[in-house]
Amino acid sequence: MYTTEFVDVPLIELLQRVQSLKHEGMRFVQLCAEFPESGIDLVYTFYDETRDNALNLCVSVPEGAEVPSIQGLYFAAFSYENEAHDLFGVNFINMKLDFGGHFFSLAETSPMTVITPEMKAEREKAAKLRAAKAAKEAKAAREAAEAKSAERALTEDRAAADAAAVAAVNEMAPAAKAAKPSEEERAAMMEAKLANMDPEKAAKVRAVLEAKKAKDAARAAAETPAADTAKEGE
Amino acid sequence: MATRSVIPFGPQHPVLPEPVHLDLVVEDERVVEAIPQIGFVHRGLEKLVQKRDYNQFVYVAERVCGICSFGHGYGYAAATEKLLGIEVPRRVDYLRAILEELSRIHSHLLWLGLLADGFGFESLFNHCWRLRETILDIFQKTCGGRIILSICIVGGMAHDIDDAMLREVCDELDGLRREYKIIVDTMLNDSSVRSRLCGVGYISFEDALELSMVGPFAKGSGIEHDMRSTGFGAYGDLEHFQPIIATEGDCYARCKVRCEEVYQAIDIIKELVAKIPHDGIGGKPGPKVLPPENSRAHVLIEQPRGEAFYYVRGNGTKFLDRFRLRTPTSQNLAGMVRALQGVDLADVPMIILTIDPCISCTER
Repeated sequence: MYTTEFVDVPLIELLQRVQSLKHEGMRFVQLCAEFPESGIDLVYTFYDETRDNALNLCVSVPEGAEVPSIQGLYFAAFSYENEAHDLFGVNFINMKLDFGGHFFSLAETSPMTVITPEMKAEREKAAKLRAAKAAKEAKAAREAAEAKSAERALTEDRAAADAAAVAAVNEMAPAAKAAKPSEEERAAMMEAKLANMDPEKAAKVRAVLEAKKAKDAARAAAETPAADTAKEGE
Repeated sequence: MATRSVIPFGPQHPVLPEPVHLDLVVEDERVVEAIPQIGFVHRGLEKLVQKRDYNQFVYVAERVCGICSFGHGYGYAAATEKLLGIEVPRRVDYLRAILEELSRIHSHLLWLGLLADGFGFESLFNHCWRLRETILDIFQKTCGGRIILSICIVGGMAHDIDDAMLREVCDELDGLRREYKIIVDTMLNDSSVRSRLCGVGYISFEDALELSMVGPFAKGSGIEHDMRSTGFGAYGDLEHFQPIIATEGDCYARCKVRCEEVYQAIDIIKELVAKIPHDGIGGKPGPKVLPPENSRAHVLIEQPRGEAFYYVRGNGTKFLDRFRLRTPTSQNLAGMVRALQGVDLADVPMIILTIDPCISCTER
């Protein structure tokens, strides 16, 4: 199977390039004119029989520019050059066989440069779709960037709040430790309170406290052997 | 010194089935220069690509020519598939190659009849066109149409041709070969045919190369160029393919090449039928499959008259920006001008007929 190549060539280098291809023994295949959005594009195709490669030289021709004829190198190009002139209005110079715009009998000049309403509508639709797609992509990218920055800010705020809370807790922890009274201090405080109470009421409170103390001690004594038994069972 | 005069030849002429006009500059009975003129039936079919989407356009491409109509549909579909990056199943390649070779037989038989009619061998003309009917009948049985087949679509084939039918086609071609051999032997060995064609309209190997000629016109001058030998489509699976050439460079050599190509086409069809795979026939691409913007692709295939070039350019929509068909006849116009230089005026029709121009293809 043959290979295909498309190479862009400036108009000014066209003749020189075609000349070198002729010296390399390339066979001329065709010349095709195209009408993109602006100007005219010419595609010259050559075939290399030894490598089975089709080389396409793509030349952009600005509006009204003169294009050198290659008929002197490849006479077979005469029909294509006259066709491109009649159908696309390409201005070739130094043609060996020039039909002067009468190669085709046409009702209007350069008919291939007229864009059909269907093509125009389709091109506009495609342009709108392209614009909408680009806008959608841009919006999505913007939103993604905003979401990322908001998330980053939120993360930073959270980290700062956590750090502040940890610092506050650390600050508060020694004070809280200091504020918590020991067993003896609580007993002393209770004694001070009882001293200021009615003696009868104070005696009752003392009795209740003694009873509670005894009850706690009994419960503690009951729990200790059970734990020992459980350890032995293990 | 003989005086020069210009004789207008065509576009309406008894021996010319095609609308080509020639300004023949003659000195007495000798042609000094011939200037061709076409453009009488320009239809603007390439322009229609901007009005029909790429799936619909295959039916327009087929209508470029009434003889190699299948080939134009095939070339357009292959170029568009290349543009879209679609790989068709191998069976599709095989079916396309079989139909293309049937078109070649059809085209060469039609041409042989016209040539015979051109020099007054009318019974041969009738026999050739009778044999051509066999091919048209095969087209009708396999595709439904006799001239416009509409079986080739972008992405595959519109419908399959089953194996039993293909075997039947091979049997019919065996019968055709037997009858064709009688006709061709008569034609090529006839002394009056030889006297009209041998040594007439000579083109040297160097001239054929210089003028980038294609097809049997070039092969008759010893140019061994045939796109089938590059192995595109199913042609790459053929065991031994060698382009048929002749070195004499005259009308008789071109005639001999075409006559031999019919035998070769029958052999190719039989080989492809024996090898055809069963991996499906593809189908139309979905509506979301669009050619990329500013994408370009082209294919070169070997039509009955020689190498044809199909170029497509996409713009991101379902309409293509450009479809270009370069027919073999466009490429051979320069060779025709050279072949007519220095010949007798009476030989001009024979020379043009052996070049087998298809101006309707060229006009598009």
